[in-house]
Amino acid sequence: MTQPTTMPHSPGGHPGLPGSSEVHLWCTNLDDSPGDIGVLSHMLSPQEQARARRFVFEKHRCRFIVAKAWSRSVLGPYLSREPCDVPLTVDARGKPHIIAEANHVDLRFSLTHCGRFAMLGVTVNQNIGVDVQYPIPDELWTAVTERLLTPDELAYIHDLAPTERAFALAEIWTRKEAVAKALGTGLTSQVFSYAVGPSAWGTVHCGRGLRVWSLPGHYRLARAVAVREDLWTPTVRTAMLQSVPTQQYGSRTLPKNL
Amino acid sequence: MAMNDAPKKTPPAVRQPPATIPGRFAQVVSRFPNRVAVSTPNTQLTYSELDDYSGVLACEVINRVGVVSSPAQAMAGEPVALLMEHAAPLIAAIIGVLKAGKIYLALDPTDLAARIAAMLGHARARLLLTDKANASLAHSLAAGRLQVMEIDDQFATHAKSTIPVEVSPEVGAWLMYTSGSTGAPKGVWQNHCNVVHHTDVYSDMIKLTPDDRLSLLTSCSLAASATHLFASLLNGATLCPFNMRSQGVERLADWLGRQRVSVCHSVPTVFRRLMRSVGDNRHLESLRLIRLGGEPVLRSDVEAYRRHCSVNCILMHALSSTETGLISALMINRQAALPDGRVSVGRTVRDVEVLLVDERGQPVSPGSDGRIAVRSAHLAQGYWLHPDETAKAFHKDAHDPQTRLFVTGDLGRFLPDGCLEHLGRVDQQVKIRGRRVDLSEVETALQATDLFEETVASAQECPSGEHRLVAHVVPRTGTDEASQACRHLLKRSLPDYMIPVEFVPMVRLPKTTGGKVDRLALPPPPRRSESLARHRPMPRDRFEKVLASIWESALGVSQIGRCDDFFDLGGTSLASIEVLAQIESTLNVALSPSIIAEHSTIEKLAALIADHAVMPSPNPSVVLRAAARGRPLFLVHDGPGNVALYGQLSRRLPDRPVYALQAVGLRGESWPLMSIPAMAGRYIREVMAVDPTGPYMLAGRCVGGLIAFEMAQQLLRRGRPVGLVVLIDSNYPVPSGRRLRWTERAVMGPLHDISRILRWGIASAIGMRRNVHWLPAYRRFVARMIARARRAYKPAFYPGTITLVLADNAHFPGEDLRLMMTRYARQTRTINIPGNFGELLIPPAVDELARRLQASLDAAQSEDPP
Repeated sequence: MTQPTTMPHSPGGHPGLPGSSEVHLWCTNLDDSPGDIGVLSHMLSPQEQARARRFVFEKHRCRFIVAKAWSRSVLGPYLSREPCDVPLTVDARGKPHIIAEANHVDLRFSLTHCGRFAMLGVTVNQNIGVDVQYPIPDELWTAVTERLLTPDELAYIHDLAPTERAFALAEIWTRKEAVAKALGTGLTSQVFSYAVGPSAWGTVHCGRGLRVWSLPGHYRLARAVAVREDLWTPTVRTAMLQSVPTQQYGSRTLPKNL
Repeated sequence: MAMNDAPKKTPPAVRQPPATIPGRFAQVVSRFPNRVAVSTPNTQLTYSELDDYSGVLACEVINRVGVVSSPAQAMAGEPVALLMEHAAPLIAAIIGVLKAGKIYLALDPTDLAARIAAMLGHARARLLLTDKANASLAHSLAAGRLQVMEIDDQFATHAKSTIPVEVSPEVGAWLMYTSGSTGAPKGVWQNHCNVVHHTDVYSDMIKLTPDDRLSLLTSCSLAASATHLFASLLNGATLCPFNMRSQGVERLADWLGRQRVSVCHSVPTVFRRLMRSVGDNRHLESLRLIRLGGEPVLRSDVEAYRRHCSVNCILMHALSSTETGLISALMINRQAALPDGRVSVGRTVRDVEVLLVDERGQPVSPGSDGRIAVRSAHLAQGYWLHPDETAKAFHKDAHDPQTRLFVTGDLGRFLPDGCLEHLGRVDQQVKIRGRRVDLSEVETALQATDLFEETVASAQECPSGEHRLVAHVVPRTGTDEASQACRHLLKRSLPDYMIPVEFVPMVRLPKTTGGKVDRLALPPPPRRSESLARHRPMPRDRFEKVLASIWESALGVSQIGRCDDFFDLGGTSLASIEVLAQIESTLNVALSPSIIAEHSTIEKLAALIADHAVMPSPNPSVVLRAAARGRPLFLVHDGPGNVALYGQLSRRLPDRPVYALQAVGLRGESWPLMSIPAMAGRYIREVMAVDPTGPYMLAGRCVGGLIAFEMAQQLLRRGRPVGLVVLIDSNYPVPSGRRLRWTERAVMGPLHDISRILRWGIASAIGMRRNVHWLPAYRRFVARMIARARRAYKPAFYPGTITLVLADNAHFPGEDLRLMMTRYARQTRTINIPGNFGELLIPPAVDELARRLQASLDAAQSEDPP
């Protein structure tokens, strides 16, 4: 199985729309944002602002706002729009997407965050699911694994040293969740019945026409991407954005370092 | 100092000494051809042997990848990766790569494979050198993308060879990846002339002579290894590599003595364990210098050094980093005064200037703390293939083009005597209750209590985003006493907010390749709940209270109201799965994984499940529905062994009693059953006790269907009538998903099972099974034994009719394994239910399932003679 080739994105310019066999991945640290939360929240739609207000804890609210503002500032240049003008809406399951009338290029994306780390996957014309997860402590899984892992996955986890288990579990979890996101079904028993395995299994074709793989390189964070399997070997462009740019979004200037 | 009759280094004559590693090495070889260059317990490699062997390797490397680097790397050179054991061949390979004019990238085989793969990919190496022990790992990492060259250890058989390369001092020598705690690992590279410069500075400082024997404890993948590696090989001294991972620190003292190591370099954690293993009345006689660095050195370390090192031995405490090399060093002897707290890192070394700067990069006022910034002409060249990051981190000097400034991640301050005090890493500065806390200061205080072997302090994040201070400790005595006593002692030396709120006792702390404490691998402390202060409607009845407690443990929040939204409280999909598992095990209700997303408050969830909860029972047979009339239906557990999943189905079958059979041993009350015939035999006893005559109605999901099938066969053999056998989504017993290799099928599977059974037997023999905390472990073990039984099951032909219930929406890559069971029955009826595989027993599919099952039951009953 060929792993998707990874090309580091040259920082400095926006990469432009992903080609038909390309996946753009963007990563950031949500707690690193030097921008003022109040200012950033003005970039969000009224719908998103209402969601942000419902969080009970400030930390969750802040991360939600930064994640949304950041994803808008990444998506904006793809659509040649200001970040606050990116026309986003959510479907019945709460999954955000770009309003179809304003989306002539059929840009699709998947946003995920775990703790302070966020990742955004962007494609054209095809669904994408991404997920990140810190290692999952073993005791959390004692009851869960039986139902959610396939027998082979269970056997794999069981045969690992306890120290490696938490990371492998996180890998399997992210791969399942990425598949669920790409399918748009939410987490169902059906999704859990697909054998996706840990990153040691490489790229896995997991049914429903999807392939899923893990990104290497992050020591403590499992990251997975799922896209359609039939066409090609996708090219992955990764880019680390340090944080949400600090420019004043009220004055509608485009962030320079995108 | 042992300078006596050793041959003195000749002062540089009119000609400058060569500024490349191969150039200097050639000089040393011509001067000391028969001195031992590398010494390990089984290899003594002289300089001329090392020269010949590395020369052959250099030619081989050039044969494989050519002299010229690819244009992207033209200036720096090209990296050649090394994945080898920490032993003499690795040293030879490093010298060989350098002679070939390539950059060596040493990889640690004990590192995570994913991390090694990431480094290989990022460095864009085309060639990977490996040895026999790591060949298979190397080939799997290379995966055809890069060449792999296996090196043997036949030093003697190589003839002299000429290398067609003249190495320039500007070409890269090493490429090392730093750990990269937040992002991807970063590659730092350094050129030949700076490596030679750093080697000279260090050799002069410690007055190195060719008689010295230098330890190499650090993995060659870390920059700290380069100092001793080149200091010995470019001065005619002997290098003694020691593999700490395979040998263990316990053997270090013995090895130091046997190898007569005179200069030892380690991190303080290793040093402490070394000192403890030496014993009270013994000395490390051969050592003349111990270099410590990388972690704080404490007063107790100096005391240990005084106790266990000889009169002539010097203690050196140095500050260095991958990007800068050696920054400053303190050298003390046994007469030096004991420090109060931390030991300083002394004065800056030759050709290095240290500035202390604030967050904006401005110099701080004299005497205050600041980030340590280093000005030097010999900094590392930069981050490999990241010119932008390099430009950001290494600031060019406006006046002197040779000199650059690098701001480290370390904090420091100058003491009145001009020595630099290292105050810890910037990333170890955390905010606790709004105040800045330096974790290394907490660690120093913890160590000073002398209650713990090892300690590490960290700040852990609560769900609310607050940080709390946690200490992972290896106690010398009992855990509880130690942490209590420690809190008491710490109150004298630390302010309240700097005292850890949580002590996590450990047997040993996780270590990185370099022997430092691996902070990222520390287990999380037990969860502490966060209280919601606001007024909100509280849970009312029993179910709501049980659910609230489950949410509280999953979210780490207490006092959850009945109308609070799960996701507003910071719940993630992973936490929702944890909640489901808890509900399943405490209330015996199986729910769809998406249920929390659809019913996200306690009020809504309680309304949904209050009707379906089933109380647990110690017997295999559980009454799901009591009714006076009608033939009873028996439902057999599935893979996990419990019967919670049948709760909703049984509510929809009103006309007859419904019994469920759960796996034996789920609560640790007895040993689980190991095969499907054994289970079936046990369950038909239960079935016949309930209903002595029959005809029997049996059903089961997944493996439960297979057990029901086997039960029907055994009942027939005993001459009992069977009315109905229903297999709901039951696969023929071949493991689904990945196809197993034949070795796994034939050997590995049974071996794993045997090892599981043995481990479990031992654990239960020592009394584990009586402990209530092991309930999840029983469940896991029972589930594994059921999976094993399923794999081993060979169905026999059944001379009756079976009913297959199949979910429409099931994806099987090849043949539908559920249909395979038709081959083992005389007649098959098939019922297709719209719904997803695995979701037939929960709404909405369960309604249709119950309707069709009801019809089959009625039909089967009407066929009976009354």
